[in-house]
Amino acid sequence: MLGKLGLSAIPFRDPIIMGAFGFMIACVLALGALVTYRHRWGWLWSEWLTSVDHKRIGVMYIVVAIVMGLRGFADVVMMRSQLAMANGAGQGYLPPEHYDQIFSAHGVIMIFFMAMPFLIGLINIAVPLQIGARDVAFPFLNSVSFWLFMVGVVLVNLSLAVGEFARTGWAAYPPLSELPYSPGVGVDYYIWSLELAGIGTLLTGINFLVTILALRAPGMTLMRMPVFTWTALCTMILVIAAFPILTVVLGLLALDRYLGMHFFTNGGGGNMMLYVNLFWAWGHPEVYILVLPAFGIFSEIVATFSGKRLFGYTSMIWATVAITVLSFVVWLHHFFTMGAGGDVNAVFGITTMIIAVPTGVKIFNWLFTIFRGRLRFTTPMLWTLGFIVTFVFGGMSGVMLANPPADFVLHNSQFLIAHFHNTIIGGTVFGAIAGFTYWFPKIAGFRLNERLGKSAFFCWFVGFYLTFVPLYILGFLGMTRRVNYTGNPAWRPLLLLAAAGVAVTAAGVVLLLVQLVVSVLQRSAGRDRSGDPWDGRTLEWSVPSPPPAWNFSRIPVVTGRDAFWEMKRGGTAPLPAGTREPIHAMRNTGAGVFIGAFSLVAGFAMTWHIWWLAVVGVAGVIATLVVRAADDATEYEIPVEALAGEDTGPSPTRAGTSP
Amino acid sequence: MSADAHAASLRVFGFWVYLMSDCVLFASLFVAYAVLHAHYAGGPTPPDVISLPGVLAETLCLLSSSFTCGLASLATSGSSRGGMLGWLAVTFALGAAFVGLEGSEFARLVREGSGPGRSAWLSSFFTLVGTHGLHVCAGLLWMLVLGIQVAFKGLRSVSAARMRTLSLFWHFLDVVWVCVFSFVYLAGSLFAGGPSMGSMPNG
Amino acid sequence: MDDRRTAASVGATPAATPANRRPYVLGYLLSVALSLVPFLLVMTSALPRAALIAVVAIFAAAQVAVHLVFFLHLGRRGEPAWNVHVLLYTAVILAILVGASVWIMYHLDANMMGP
Repeated sequence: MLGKLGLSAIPFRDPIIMGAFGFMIACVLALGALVTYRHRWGWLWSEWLTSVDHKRIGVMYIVVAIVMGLRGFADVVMMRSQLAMANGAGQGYLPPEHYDQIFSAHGVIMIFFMAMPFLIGLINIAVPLQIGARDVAFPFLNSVSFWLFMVGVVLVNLSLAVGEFARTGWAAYPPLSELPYSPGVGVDYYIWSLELAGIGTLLTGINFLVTILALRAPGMTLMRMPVFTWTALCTMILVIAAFPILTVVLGLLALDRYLGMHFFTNGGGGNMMLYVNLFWAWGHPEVYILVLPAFGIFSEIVATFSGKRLFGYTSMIWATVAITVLSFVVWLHHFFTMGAGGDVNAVFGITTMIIAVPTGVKIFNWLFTIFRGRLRFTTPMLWTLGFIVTFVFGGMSGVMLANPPADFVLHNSQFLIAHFHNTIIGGTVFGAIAGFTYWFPKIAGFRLNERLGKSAFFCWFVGFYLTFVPLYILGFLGMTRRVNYTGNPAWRPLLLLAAAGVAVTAAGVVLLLVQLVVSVLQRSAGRDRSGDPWDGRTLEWSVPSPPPAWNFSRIPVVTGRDAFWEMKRGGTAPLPAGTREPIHAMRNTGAGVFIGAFSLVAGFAMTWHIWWLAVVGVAGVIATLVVRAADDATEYEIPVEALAGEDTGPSPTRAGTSP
Repeated sequence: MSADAHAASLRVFGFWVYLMSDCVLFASLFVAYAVLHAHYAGGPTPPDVISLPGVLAETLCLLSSSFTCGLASLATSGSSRGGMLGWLAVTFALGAAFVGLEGSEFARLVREGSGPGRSAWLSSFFTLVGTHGLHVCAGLLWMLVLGIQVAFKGLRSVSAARMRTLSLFWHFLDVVWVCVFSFVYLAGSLFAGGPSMGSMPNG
Repeated sequence: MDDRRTAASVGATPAATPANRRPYVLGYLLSVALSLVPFLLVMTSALPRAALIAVVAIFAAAQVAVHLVFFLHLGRRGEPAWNVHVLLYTAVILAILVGASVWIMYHLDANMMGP
């Protein structure tokens, strides 16, 4: 009746897990109590959870990304403390069965449930505003994407206390991820959380590709788009081309596990390298999906805070397009050591080195933008400068690894760990935080505290190097990845340094949270009344902070790059010429929430082999879609009178909700 | 361009982009099939499993349904509700015949011990052909829902837009089927037992 | 939302006239022929194997093209402009994914698997 599920699924005897889960439950209950006390459930439902507004959906993505980032960071603290302790005679406090779940969850959470949603959240917030659109092409689909992402979040968090998580590493290679070696539910939680969240990401890719190509303001040709929009476009192209591969490869693993098929099994003719090949055919474009939006964020910030237009816009775009194309011809470098031979390795080694060139072009463009500019050392600019230095190191270690003979020594060592954290943290994480700081005033209507922001940056910057330089060295000394114990006492000092680095970074994390709280408390003092707190260059700064639901009362007409900058110089900011017309808007709807809820039921049921419940979940999703298709009242009209005087003051909310 | 027509063209373009992602999905399944196509694990090989006359019948059903789907599209643009519903029903029937034939083919294979768990080749065969079949089933469900909507609410612009995306989907599925019958069934019966990727030594 | 469109148009839905059956009829007849020929040739083993493989592949490619042109109206004036670009880009991705994967897997197999 309940498949494999029973009370024994909850690890009552493990104090660490019970403590962590208890803490999570306490947070959720406290939040629920707060919402109840303030009588805000109705508001939460009708204004946020059912919203189809790209700005609200973007905020929700980012809030969840921050929370999941904290969980992923807790994994970091556990891993580094364990490694600092478990050297020589010490054994640490995390046995391998637990430690393996931690590093697997850490990778999955940070990539899928922190970095991706953070960037998708920023893209949601900024791109429609940057192109002068009122919303994305398919607002309902946007809501569905968010709720499918939430399904993945919930499943991963449930795995902490109900059952277990995968112990296979975040890539879940067979045969370890096949039934004989992973008979528990861990790999199944992994499969279903990523399959469902992955569908959400794919839908986002389609949504924003169509939005960017079809909904730009009149006069905004492709070569007049802001660079962040360009990088978002290329990211979406990568998403559409790569995520179906992930859907297939995890699906095939599921078929092996559930229906006894032989795609990747030891027997029956299975081929495990097929998994590795397909996984990385998705996996490499994925890392460019993670970094391209960050590049776009930095381009916007560099131009704004140098007071200069971006140097080499055209070469920047071509470099971005080149990276997009090349990211599809390098994936074998993730498994140089698996025996494809010298010819194959050489080709992919060369392509991997070539892909560093367009990135180098971008670095030079940023530097030339700064050169002879009037630099303002605001928090976003500090993150950008930190990124330029840090990412170059990461890129250089990448070029080293691109060399197959070198990779034979360094593959799966701590050197590799240091390389990809160097690029992901230096690129994606720094970019996400910079973008968050940059666009925060636009969404919230007030600025973040600068001093706390700068302190947080310095802690992160110092903490990063303190953590990862020792890891580069440990890689050269021979320490591999995914070990919970090291026998070589010579490594101890480096492991302690790395742990100290995490402590410094943790201070940076705390400072960011404190910054948020303090800024909220000081919001009247930090209020942004002009809509343009940074003297920005692109269209999102031409609307009030926060923007009204429909973004622009009149769609601007664009005549060049840096459209808002042109308007300011021409004296036409903030309102473009033209008459106001009534606006067709989409109603909020709970259909996305229901699709998410039924998908969650299906995913959980599949994990625990509760077949009847899985059928219920799938049927529920289909039924919700059919009901939605039958709904003829999905839109409403905002009359012109409601638009009068909307350029100042609080933004009106959307009218009405439909089921 | 009116707001309705604009929304419809966005919908069509968005669906086309989704179809491109579905192409990548099927391509990945074809990769798996190409890699595993000779991994018989000492079990059934293509001559034991493939029956070309049945596949020809399936092909003609699906192809004809693509044609009648086109006629349904034309009826929709011509605002003929009866024509649209009529041709949609024929399309549904032909598509259901395809699914029926394929389902009975699968059932027969499983009964004979040539199910998807027998070998890697059979796993990839069932999964590739089966995924296409599942897509066809989804299309049939879509036809049902759309047909009911049009029957009760008449042929409105939103229904016309949905018919347009449905026909894109249906034609695309026929394109995928061309690749499936060519490279799985026809080429499969030619390559039976031939040398290629090699099989695993243990069964 | 009634956003104004940009210069890069996604195209209008063509107002097909009821008399426009011709592409569908032509496409159907061509497709039937392009299906029947390889089937019958393979079923009767009328040609040597290498020639049959070539026929199957060529006819498949031709039939896909027939579908794209006659059923999906690719390249017809009035159809969305981006569709062709998106399709071409996808074709490139497919070629790389399938081609490189097969190449890689073949080499892995040749080097690492027993005789």
